Amino acid sequence: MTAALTAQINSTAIDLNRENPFTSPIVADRVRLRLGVIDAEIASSIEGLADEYAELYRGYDNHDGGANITVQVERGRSRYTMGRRFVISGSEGRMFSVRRIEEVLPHVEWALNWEVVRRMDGYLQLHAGVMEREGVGVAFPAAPGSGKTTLCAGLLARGWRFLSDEFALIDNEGMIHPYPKALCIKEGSFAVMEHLGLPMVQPRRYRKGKKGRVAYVNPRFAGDESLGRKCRLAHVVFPKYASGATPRLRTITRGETGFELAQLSFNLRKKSSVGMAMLMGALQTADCHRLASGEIDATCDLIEKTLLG
Amino acid sequence: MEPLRTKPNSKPQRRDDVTYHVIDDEALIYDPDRGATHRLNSTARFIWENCDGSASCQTIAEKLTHVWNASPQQARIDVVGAVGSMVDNGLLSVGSDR
Repeated sequence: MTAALTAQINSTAIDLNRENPFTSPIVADRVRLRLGVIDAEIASSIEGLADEYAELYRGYDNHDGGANITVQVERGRSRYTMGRRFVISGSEGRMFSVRRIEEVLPHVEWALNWEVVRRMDGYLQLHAGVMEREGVGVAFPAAPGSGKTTLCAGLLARGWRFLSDEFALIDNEGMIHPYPKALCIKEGSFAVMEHLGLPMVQPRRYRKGKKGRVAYVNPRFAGDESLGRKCRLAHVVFPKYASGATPRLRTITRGETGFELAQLSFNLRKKSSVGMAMLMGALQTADCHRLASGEIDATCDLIEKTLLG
Repeated sequence: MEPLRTKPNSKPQRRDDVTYHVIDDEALIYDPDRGATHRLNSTARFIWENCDGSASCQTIAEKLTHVWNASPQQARIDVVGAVGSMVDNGLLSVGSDR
C-alpha cells in the first residue's frame, strides 16, 4: 500500500561540495538556446564546442540573454589526480570533470538537465518523455532504460510533436510545457534511428558514462512543425521495452498512476504538498496505461490506434 | 496477540498535516515530513476517512460491514490491518477509552 519516495537521479557523478574551479572570468564562446520554456546558455572556452552545440541545435531559436540556466565548460584539473580534465560547471559550481573531448557534450547535456532540476522550481518535474499530436498530450514516464527515447523518436518520425524525451514540466494548471532537448541515442538504437529515417548528428563519436557510445537526433530534422507546444495531459503511458515483445497496452487506474508518478518526480520532495496537488490536477482528465513495447513500428501503430482512435 | 495500537477500542486519528487526494475510487496521501506517497484502495480509503479520533476500530468495522456488505470478521481484520499499517507509516495516531 505504501512506499517511500525514492530519488530517481543518480547523484554520484556530482560533487556539490566542491568549490567552483573558476576564479577568474571565463573568456568563452556562448551559445544561447531557447529550449521550449527553458532559455539555456552554454559558455565554453573549448575550441569548437560552441559550434558543435550550434550544429546540434540547428533550427532552434536563440535568446538575447537572461538565461534560466547556464552551464560553463573549461579546461581544468582533476581534484584527485591533477590530470587534465574538461570541467563542466553549473550554478552551484563544478558538476562533472571528464577526460576525453567526446565525453564533453553529453555531460553538458546532462548538466543542463541538472540545472533544470535545480532552478525551474515553478514546474513539477517528472522523468518522462512527452509527445503531442492534434492537441493530445501523451507522457511516457519511466526510469532510465525503459525505452522512452526510442518511443519518442518513433512517434516523432510519424509526425508527432516533440516536447521532451526526459522531462515533463507541469504547471499549476495541469499543462505540460516543452523542453525539447536533442534526443540522446544509445548505440544499441542507432539502427532503429536509421530505420525511422531520423538523422543522427555525429560530428564526434560521443561517449556518456555507462551508456557508452551515444549519438544525438535534432528533433527539428523531423520537420518544421516537429517541436511541441504547451498542451494538456490526455494520456499517461508507462513504457517498458522488451526485445521481441508483442506490444500491449493495459489500462490502469489514476491512483496507481499518481502513486508511480510521485516516485518518478525530480522535485516532488522540494515542492511537497503543492507539487502533489499539481500532479493530481494534471491527472484529473488523463487516461492511464501500461505499455509493453517491442518492435518500434508495431508499438507506434498500437499507440496511435489506441490513443488517437 | 494484536498490537496495543490496533485493539478494537482504539480510536485512530488522522494526521492533519498530510495532503489527501481522492482520485476515482482510490486516494493518495502525501506526507511532506517523510516525502512519502501512500496509495489507498477503496477499502483503505473508507477506513482512513473514518479515522477522525472519535470512532473506534470496532465502530469503523461495523460501518464497513454495512457499507461494503462484508462479514464482521473480515471487516474487523481489514480495519485492524489497515489502521496498523497507517500507524506504522506515521499517518495515524491512536487512543482508546481504556
